[in-house]
Amino acid sequence: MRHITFQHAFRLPSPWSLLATLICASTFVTPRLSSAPKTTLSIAFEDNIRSFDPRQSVDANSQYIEDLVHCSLMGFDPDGKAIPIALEADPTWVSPKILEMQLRKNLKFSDGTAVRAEDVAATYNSLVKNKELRRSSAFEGVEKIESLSDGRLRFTLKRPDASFPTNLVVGILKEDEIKAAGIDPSTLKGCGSYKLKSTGINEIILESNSFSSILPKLSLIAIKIVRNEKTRYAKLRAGEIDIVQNGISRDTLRTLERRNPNLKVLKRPSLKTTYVGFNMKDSLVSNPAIREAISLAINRQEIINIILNGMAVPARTILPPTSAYFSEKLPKETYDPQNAERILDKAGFVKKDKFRFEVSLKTTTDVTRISVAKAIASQLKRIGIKVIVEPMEWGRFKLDIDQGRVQLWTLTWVGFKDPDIYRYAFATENFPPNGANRGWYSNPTLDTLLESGREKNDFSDRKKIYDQIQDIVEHDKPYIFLWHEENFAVVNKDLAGFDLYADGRYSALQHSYFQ
Amino acid sequence: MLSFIVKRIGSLIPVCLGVLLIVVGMIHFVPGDPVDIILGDYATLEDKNALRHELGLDQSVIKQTVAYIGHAAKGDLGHSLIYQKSVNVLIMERLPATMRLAIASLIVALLISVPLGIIASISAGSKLDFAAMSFAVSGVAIPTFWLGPLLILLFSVELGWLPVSEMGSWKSYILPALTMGTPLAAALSRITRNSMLDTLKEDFVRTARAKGCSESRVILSHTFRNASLPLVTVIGLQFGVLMTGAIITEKVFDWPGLGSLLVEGINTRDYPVVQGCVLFFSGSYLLVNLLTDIAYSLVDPRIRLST
Repeated sequence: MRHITFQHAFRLPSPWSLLATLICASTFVTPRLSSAPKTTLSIAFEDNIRSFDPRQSVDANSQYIEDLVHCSLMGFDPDGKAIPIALEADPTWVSPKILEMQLRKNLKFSDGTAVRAEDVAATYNSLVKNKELRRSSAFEGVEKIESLSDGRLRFTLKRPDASFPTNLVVGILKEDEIKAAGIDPSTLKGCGSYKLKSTGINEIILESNSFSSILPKLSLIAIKIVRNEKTRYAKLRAGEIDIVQNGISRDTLRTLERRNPNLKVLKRPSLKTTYVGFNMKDSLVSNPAIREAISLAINRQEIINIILNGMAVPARTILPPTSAYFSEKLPKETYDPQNAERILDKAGFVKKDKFRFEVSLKTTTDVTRISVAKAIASQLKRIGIKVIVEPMEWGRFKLDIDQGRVQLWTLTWVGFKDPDIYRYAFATENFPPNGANRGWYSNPTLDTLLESGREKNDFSDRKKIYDQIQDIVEHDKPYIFLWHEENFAVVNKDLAGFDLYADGRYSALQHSYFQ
Repeated sequence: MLSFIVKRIGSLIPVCLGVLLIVVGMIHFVPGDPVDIILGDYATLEDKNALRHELGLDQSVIKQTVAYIGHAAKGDLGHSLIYQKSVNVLIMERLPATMRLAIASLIVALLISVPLGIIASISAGSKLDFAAMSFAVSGVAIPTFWLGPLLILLFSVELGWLPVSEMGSWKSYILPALTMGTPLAAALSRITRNSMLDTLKEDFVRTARAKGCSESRVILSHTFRNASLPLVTVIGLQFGVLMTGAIITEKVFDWPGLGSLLVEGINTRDYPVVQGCVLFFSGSYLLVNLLTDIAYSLVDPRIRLST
């Protein structure tokens, strides 16, 4: 039998010829560099756009697109303050229940037709009448909407609601589009700076709207859905993505800042407030001394520096310091573990075998949240409180909180623009499932103030009420407010004119350009 | 032959029904409310209840299950709670991407494994054989969630030769196909080698050589042709795995396929999407198995007779 060898059976090219082929191939596939400034921008979103109909946009990504494609009566400035967008000026309360406003002239949809008060009225009327629309709940208190002469609009409410103007942020649709059976993204006409060019599964392309009052300098925006954090990181490094907002872990951010001269990191205080909640039905944590002691024993600044990469400011209440309703009279958060121990001793919670008592702290499975919970547990251990950290998948976590199967939990309030958030979070009428008073906290004085705060339209009157509300919440401590996280974005260093917004919106893109 | 196929199809029906019952039943025991996810945190109780009613989620699990099975039997996999689209449409939108990736991965696997297996078998015991089989062991051991990012870092970030992710030009297929194809290539090269070694000992190989056939002809036309039977079986089964097991690769490369659709469905409690995807995956796996059995019985009639 003949001895078979590989060389005998087949003839292969030499290693040198293989190397030459590889070099030729690399030249062919390497992208050619261009010196002209780019006019197309790529953004990575972490999740899909669920709806292109502004009346159905309840998720953040859909609202970001809505903000670029549509114009709305009101919008928000970079700090989250409500400002008129499609209005000549702020709306005026002509009575506690009647709000009037003047539509801006020369506003046009992407097909060149004028935006009329009738279009606005039709958009909001559809939300009032159609309960199946996802954003209809914000308009339950609306009695009627009228388009008056010369582009004036009147909203009549069923009851006074000072926070109502912050609801007027729904993108304006054409009246005839509203009458059609459904909104078709391919024919959707908005009055924003951009219009939808294409909507793929993982990519949405926007092109500049030539009829927009502000003509954007970037002709195309490609929104890419990149769900994996490591992939977003790789795409940033490879230059395939120009902006990633909050979609990179803080540890990765440190590496990116160090290693990539082609990228820059932008930061801005956000409208997010992280807190520790207490279940007031629980016999242990409903004790005010325990809540006070826990508050004193948490070193917020230490956790911010170590876990959050210094990208947060300690919180004193739900509202961030940038809010006009933030109470300057609130005491500064203090870290005083000795005092915390004294309070617990005085309340009769003395140490037995290192610990005074044991509590459970539930959180989500997010890596940062788990680290924060472990840090809190470690700090509370120093004053003799044993904390069992229980990370849970979101669905289970939310169910447990809503059903009161919790002692302590950490969560973040996101995206609130008005101090009426206190009513939603702390009013007795808002126990789950009606609202988000998940700690089952009840204070009749606070309830009365929350109703007044909702009804008063005058800023200074309202401010006084919310100062009192913040005092009560600070005193009762149904929550321990931890910090307001910063928004951050990793951005192509050649991109100019892009600023972060407190609520994460991309409104600044209409002024952005590549240098 | 026809009775063989009918018998095989008949045996699939209880399996399908079992899968259907398990999937529909289990998903309702997972905590978490899709209405919360759809409407967000600020919705009122009335709105939540209205939507729950509209989506039929206020009915009992049994009623929902029976209704779902009835619709599924007619080919209607329901309506996505999040995307407000038919699940059939969503699956059909994503299927081509998964199919293309599976085919590309299979091609990569075959391009690597067949030559490697043949080389290893004809150089059995040599350093070349050892190197090839070392690759096979490593390939099986390397997890895709590690290999994918590593390939991205090397070829996209450092060298800049290939795109990081997204489905687009032919270049975008290379890294995901390599990621999915490598473990398969490793497994197939071992099978090819072993099957080739067995076949090389057969009498007809000696006869071919005695007739004066060239060595490459003996190896490719005579030996490999006969040694490829187990390879066909494994390829068929592995194609089903590629179709259904691309979840990690699709996530790493943001491939808009069925795997990512399933993960999105799980994350958002989109029950109909999860049910539809799992049913589709089970169905395709069973179909591929059936086709493999049929192909096998065509190649080797003894299989048909013994069933």
